[in-house]
Amino acid sequence: MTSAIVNPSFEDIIELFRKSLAEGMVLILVGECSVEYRGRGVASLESGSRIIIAKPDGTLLIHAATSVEPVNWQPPGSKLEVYIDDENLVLSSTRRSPYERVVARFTSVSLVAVSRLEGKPRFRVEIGEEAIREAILAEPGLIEDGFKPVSIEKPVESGFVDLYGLDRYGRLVVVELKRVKADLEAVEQLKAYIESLRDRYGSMRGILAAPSITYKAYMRLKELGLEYRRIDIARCIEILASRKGQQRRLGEYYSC
Amino acid sequence: MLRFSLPDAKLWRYVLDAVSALVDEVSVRAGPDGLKIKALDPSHVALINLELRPEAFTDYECDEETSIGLSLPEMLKLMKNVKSGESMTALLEDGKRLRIEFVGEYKRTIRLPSLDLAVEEIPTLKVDFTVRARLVSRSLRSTVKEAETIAETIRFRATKDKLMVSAKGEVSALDIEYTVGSEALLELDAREEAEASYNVEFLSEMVDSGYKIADIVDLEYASNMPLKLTFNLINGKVEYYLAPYVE
Repeated sequence: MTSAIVNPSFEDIIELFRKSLAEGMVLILVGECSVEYRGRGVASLESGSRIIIAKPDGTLLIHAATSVEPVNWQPPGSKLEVYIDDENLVLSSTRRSPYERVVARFTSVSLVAVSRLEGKPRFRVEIGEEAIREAILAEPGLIEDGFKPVSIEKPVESGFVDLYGLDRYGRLVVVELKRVKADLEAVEQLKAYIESLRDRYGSMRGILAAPSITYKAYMRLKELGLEYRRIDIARCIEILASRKGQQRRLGEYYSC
Repeated sequence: MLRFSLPDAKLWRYVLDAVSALVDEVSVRAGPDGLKIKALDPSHVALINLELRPEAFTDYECDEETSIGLSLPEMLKLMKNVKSGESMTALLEDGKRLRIEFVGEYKRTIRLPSLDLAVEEIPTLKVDFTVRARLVSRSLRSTVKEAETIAETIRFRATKDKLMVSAKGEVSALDIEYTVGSEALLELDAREEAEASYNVEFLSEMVDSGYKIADIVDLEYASNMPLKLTFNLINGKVEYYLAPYVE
């Protein structure tokens, strides 16, 4: 669905802006504007012909008649406002952390358009072991029902245990994670960790968690009384993507 | 040469409590203008900035800038039996050992080594707070403690005349409203209807220590920005900063 107005009035523009905001559409403005930037420094662009693209995720691009690069821009998450001020049409985009503000002041606009760009881009995500661990920590049921992670990267004689916890009966569980097909080497690694901890903690369960495992490795696991748990990488990615909320660190807010 | 005395040693214990909310070891900077402690918790989510001016002490002598490294668990252990009304005098011997005398029913002296700690330079935080609220510490503490039983994060929202605190858990939810002029909310200045969430455990530790030190607390924050708690003493202050939890 696309709407476009040639030589719109400022009121028309405000109307279309509201629509684009409400319906998640991309807004395009072509006109004469000056630009001011305030944030990491202060910068200003004299009045000139420019195209502004504002995306529903907050991304803002200000392009001039030449070059690949925009003359100014704001990343996703920025908040856009469009209003009339003193006979100019003002478009301001603000982001909070770090604080940055871009203000484009239009004296005239020759074209305004809104359009819905369909499709969510799909990526193939490369997932590392740490990410798998994060997913398990967010949803321990990936290992098994009732699994309770207790510590990560636990140092033992032969290295570091990826994940260490308790099962629903309170028994100790050592988990070795692999992001690719698990082989004999992985089994030996798990065996070594369990042996390092046995003196101190007695008997415990050992689980090798990976997206797949070689036949030989699986048979060896059984021989040693250890276990295999198949990790669904797609499910890990889903868990990480839908994880809401993030604790920030104070480092983001230090004054420069 | 460093020497300071307090008429009631309990204040010193509260000061140590306030710092131990974040770290186990800390460097106390002593200078002609008093004692200063600045520390970041290991995860860099919370910061404490504590100052005690020379006037806070009955006796304060410090001729040059010096640092004392303290192990807080050790010191708190040794101070467990300090009673109200006991006075205390601390003396830094040779720059290497801290000797503290408590005088109450009887005189007790403890000695601790001054730890050699790497001094971390902690930068200044720059936050444009849009909400400033002045609360009764005890009330804030009750609210935070209640929220702690329900959820992991606590959310603040301010309007011109109300400060709203909420917590949403898996099962239950809590909403508390403070109105300006009520017994608990003494002042409120909200430039915008700011909303932000914070880790309730950290906040709980902070108010738990702070309410023993001051009856009033200044709470400042802005949308999705750090929160600041200031507990003012007559001759000093304890400031806490807590990074936000952003959805």
